[in-house]
Amino acid sequence: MEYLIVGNSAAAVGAIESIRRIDQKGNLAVVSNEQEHVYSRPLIAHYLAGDVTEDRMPYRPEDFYQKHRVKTYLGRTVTEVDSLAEQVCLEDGSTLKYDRLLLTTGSKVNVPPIPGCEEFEGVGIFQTYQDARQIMDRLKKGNRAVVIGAGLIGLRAAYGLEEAGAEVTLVELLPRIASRVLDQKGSELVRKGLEEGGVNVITGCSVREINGNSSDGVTGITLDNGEKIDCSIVIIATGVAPNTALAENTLIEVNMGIVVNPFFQTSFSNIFAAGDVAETHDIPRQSGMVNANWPNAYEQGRYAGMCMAGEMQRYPGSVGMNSVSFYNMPVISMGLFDPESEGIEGTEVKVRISEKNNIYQKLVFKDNRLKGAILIGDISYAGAINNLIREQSLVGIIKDSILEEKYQLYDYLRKKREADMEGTTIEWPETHSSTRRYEKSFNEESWTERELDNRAWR
Amino acid sequence: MAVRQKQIYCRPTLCIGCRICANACALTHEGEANPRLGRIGIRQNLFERYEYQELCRHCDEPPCLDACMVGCIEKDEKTGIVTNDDRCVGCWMCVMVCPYGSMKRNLVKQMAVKCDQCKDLDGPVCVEACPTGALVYEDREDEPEKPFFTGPSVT
Repeated sequence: MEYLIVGNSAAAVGAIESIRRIDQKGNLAVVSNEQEHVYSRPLIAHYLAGDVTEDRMPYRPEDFYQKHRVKTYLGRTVTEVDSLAEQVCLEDGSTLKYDRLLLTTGSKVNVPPIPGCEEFEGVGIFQTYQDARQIMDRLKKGNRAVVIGAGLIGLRAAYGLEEAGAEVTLVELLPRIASRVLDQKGSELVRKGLEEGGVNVITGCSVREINGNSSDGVTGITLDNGEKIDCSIVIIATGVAPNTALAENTLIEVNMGIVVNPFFQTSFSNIFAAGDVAETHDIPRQSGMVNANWPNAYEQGRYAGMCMAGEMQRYPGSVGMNSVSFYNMPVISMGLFDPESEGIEGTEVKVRISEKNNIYQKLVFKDNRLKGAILIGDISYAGAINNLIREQSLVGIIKDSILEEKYQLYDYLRKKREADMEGTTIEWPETHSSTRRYEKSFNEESWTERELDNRAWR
Repeated sequence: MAVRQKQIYCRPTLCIGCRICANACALTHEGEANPRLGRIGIRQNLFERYEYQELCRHCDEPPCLDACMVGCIEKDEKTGIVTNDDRCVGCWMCVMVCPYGSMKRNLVKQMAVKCDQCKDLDGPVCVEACPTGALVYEDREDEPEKPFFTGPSVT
């Protein structure tokens, strides 16, 4: 059996590990257009910031490919998938045969048509290890940087540059930052945190032009209100889209990403797709969606690998989720967190805000099920909330009390699993009110918050 | 193929919520007697008045391993113990996906910490330290998961 994997990141590693667990004999090969040993792309911001040194960048140990007996074609680009001849063509004309093909090509950055964005040195995207290294080199020439686009990649880049000692300006076209991963209130809080950390944020403004000359590279940008910002680095992070180039002009069905069934098969039963490029079932929305993030990519790769090796296991679906931490402020968003902007009706929203402690928590319910959440500052229940979204279990009574710390969510889940195992169900009363104040001192997490607040700890 | 392994089980009827287990754990791993830093967390159910433990189950398919973007969480093939190391950068992806709440955050170091069943020692110190015998470390053949969820008898 010839397994071929295109791409070399989270989904590919997940697939390699699960294929080798089932099939020890088949030939396994990986093609990637990057030279690097497998590394973690979200880590490049930490690499830039200096939190992580070069020797800690590999995602798996040095002997990973030998141990799993993987033949690697690194630094080679796949130009075409020939699904009839069951082979892929590389850029130098050679071909690789496959019996099972997995496409994990990830995302590509959408570069907007800004004048000057391709001519000058110092203008780049922030996606690969190589990009981060180039930015590190460029930082020696001057430490003023502009990040265009304030999505998660833009925020990470801005954080990394700021920690590396640069003076960073973040320019966003939309009126608020991180509009794809946070709601209005959440993005205000994150913006506040970033500004306190030293990042200059400009919203509601687009870039008219990137200025520069051939000797120094980029020298500055001009905003559409005429304002000029001097800089020596420009990072373009205006959004990503699934990199479906290989599937286009073939019979593989492409919608937002490559459409796959619960066994990760595309339109061809021996071509699989997983990771940021695949459009899978989204649990809270109950529809197909590309959920591009690291945990989903690895998990999808793992399931796809099992299906490729013949152990067909149905993928339950994914939940869009993201977790980042800026200046000690943890930010998590999951599922369907902003129903107003998506135009979904019939939702119920519970919010807990503590401005003083930078805490903002929001839960979105629909039809007595938890659909999404935003947790900023206090993420102590994140795992249990994620589990509630993933399982889509009825919440009933705990709806009112998840955020109020009166009821212990984990205990509810514990009971639910116990009931599941016994084959019974828990029937909660529709409404419930507790008059008893929850004693906060019993909660380990709140002790920590209290101590960080420099209050006396008893 | 799932690895049969010894696990730390608790008998909630015997737990008195003294947090000596968490203290012992923090003292062993962090050098500081501070129950917040323990890998075993104790929470209290105030409706039914008993304590229960948040403790790593060392899952067969650990969601934290899937989620870790650094690759610092590993599952040992022989012993089945899931461990993380100090490459952690504090992105809290693992905290976000663990349904048992057993990934703990060390907010001073900004790192995730988790139970490693004291693999370098003779046995888990929490079990050794438990004064009432509520925690036990054993290899149970059937119902591997159920003992975690055993509620207290009604008194």
